[in-house]
Amino acid sequence: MSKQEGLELGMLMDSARRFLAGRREGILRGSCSDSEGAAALWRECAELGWLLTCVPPDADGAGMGTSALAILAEELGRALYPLPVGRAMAVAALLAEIDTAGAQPAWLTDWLAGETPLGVVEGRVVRHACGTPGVRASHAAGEVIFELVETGAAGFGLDPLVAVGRAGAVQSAVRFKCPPSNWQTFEFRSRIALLAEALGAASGALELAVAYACERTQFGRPIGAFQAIKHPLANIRMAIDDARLTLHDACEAVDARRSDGEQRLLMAELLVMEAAQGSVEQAIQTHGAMGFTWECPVHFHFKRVKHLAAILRQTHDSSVILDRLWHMAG
Amino acid sequence: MKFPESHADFRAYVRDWLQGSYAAFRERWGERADPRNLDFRRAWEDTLCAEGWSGLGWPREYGGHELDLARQAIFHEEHALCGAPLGVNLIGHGILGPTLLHFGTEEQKQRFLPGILRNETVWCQGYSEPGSGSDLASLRTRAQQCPDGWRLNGHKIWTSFADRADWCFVLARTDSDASPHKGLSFFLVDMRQPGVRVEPIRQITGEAEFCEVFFEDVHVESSCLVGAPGDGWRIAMAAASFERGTYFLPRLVRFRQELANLRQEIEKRGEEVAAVSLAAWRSRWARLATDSHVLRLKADQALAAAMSGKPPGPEGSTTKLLWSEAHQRLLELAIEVNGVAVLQPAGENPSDGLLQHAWLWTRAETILAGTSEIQRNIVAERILGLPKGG
Repeated sequence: MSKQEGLELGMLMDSARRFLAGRREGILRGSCSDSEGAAALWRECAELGWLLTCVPPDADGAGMGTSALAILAEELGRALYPLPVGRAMAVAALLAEIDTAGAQPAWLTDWLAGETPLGVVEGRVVRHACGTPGVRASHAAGEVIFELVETGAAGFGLDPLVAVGRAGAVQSAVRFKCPPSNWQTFEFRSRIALLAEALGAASGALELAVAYACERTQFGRPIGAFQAIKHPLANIRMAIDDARLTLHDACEAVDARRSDGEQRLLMAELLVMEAAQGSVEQAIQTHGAMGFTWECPVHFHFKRVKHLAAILRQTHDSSVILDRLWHMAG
Repeated sequence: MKFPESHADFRAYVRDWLQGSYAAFRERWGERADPRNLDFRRAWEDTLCAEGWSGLGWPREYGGHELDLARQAIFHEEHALCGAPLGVNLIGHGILGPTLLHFGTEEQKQRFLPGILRNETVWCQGYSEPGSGSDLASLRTRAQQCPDGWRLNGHKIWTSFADRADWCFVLARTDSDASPHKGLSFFLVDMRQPGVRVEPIRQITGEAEFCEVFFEDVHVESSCLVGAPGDGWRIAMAAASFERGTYFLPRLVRFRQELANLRQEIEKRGEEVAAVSLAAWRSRWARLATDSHVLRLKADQALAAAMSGKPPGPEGSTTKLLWSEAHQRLLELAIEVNGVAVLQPAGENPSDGLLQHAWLWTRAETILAGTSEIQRNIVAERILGLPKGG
């Protein structure tokens, strides 16, 4: 990564973090959990240009790499953002790479223009289904297929901020020619977005835990002065930093279309999910009984990470990843 | 010696030289070419220095080559890749030399640097004491001013290679009224003089690299104080940061080599064990391969930070923790995979016992140069901003 790119990514992170800090309270209150709130928030994302982060400048995008997608998705995760910005970035990037001959249906262009929020289909479920259908992407016979899918029995489950429903009947579908390598990049980016979101939610949980450990006093000193508290938090911090390092390495490998891109991404996936789950669990423990209350926001982070972990495990869990890494290294 | 400027050419040049020279050297040593043999390690280090491979980053006016950090890193990496062992004077080359270049007087530089460059003077580091390990600043070795210098009294411990060292750099208390960190000074002490007694400590590996060092009314010339009285802590902390960017490179190469060997062993033994055991071994191996990948990325990051002139931060602690703990997991797995073979006495094969030796050594790695507990305190306090413990 060049120095210039590094600076740009740093600025992107700062501005996103500042902006999202102002949205966090509303998100936690659930003010974006109905279709009206979701529509307002989605419009805002598009106006900020986030959805076109990885789209080339000649197609009105920011022309940035996958690292930018990861940085934004991480910040969105930290703020517990309830909409599928990461996936939309990956879809927009793919549509800009392939020839769609101007045949994109209105539901797809409206979604990416910020006019209507949609959920996204992940295997059997639709995430972010705030009274909306979901977008499903798949690949077969050299074509990418985008489908608009009905959402059944949607509601707020484990994660009180992300509505989930059953993927139902297809309402509309469109196909475009898409070389396998473009599809693979899309799949990688989609996964990176989920991982970065988990990393952000985990990182936010660690910040809460550290702040609490500095403020909460027992036995006459802040509990963060005790090694039984500080060492697990140090472990989490290192695990998060290492996971982020591997995730951004995977982003560069994906952009460079490196042949070992998948291997690098699997390593990142392993470390991100380890770090993220460790972080949210430790964050609740550090908060003591407060961590078990609804009032203390740490449970939102816990639930988001567990939600994302369940989504990611639909295709491969850590045992599968380790097995694939063993074979790939051979 | 003129080295190629471009990094790729430099790497090819180093690799070529090392492959030829080290193979010939090893051949000459025959069965005594064993990384556990300190004479062998010293002799190879002497050869490197005689051929001009020392002072790579030092200024030319002090006999160095002024190589940029990237080329120094390439040398350390290639050196490890060719299988050559680390020397016995790493502390002289990596810590004391740069410390003198930074804090030493002109006289100290002229007097001590040539001996390091030629590997004629072996140095050891006199920091830890029986009562001062992790709490180093509490050390009690004292240096009292006397008419022609200083008189040193005290007891150091865990001093690597003290029995081979010609000189030792010693942290000693010169002001007992000042706060613990401020009353320390940094001395250069001749080990070959009356009053210095060295007693090797037998380690769990059976060998004795660590020593106890006793100073009894040892005379230290005024010119052997580095910096001013009271600067000791600051100099010692800076000294520890000079190897940043390159310290872990040989260790990471070794990690990768051990990982590759372990894979072969798992493949070999896989037919003899239950399928679930094999699956568990493979998983643990893949997790270690991921650690190895992270270590590589962290080394690149540290090198880039050092090259851009960023001051050293607590990131060295994070690399040390990951490397030392992953290395223990790696050797534990290797011992498990090798089964009962590891219990048998060494046979005729010169490499017999090397695995057991490396495995036992990993127990030291989470203790030396700052225990894992101290490293975690550093991460918690300096990165996370958690309060210091009481």
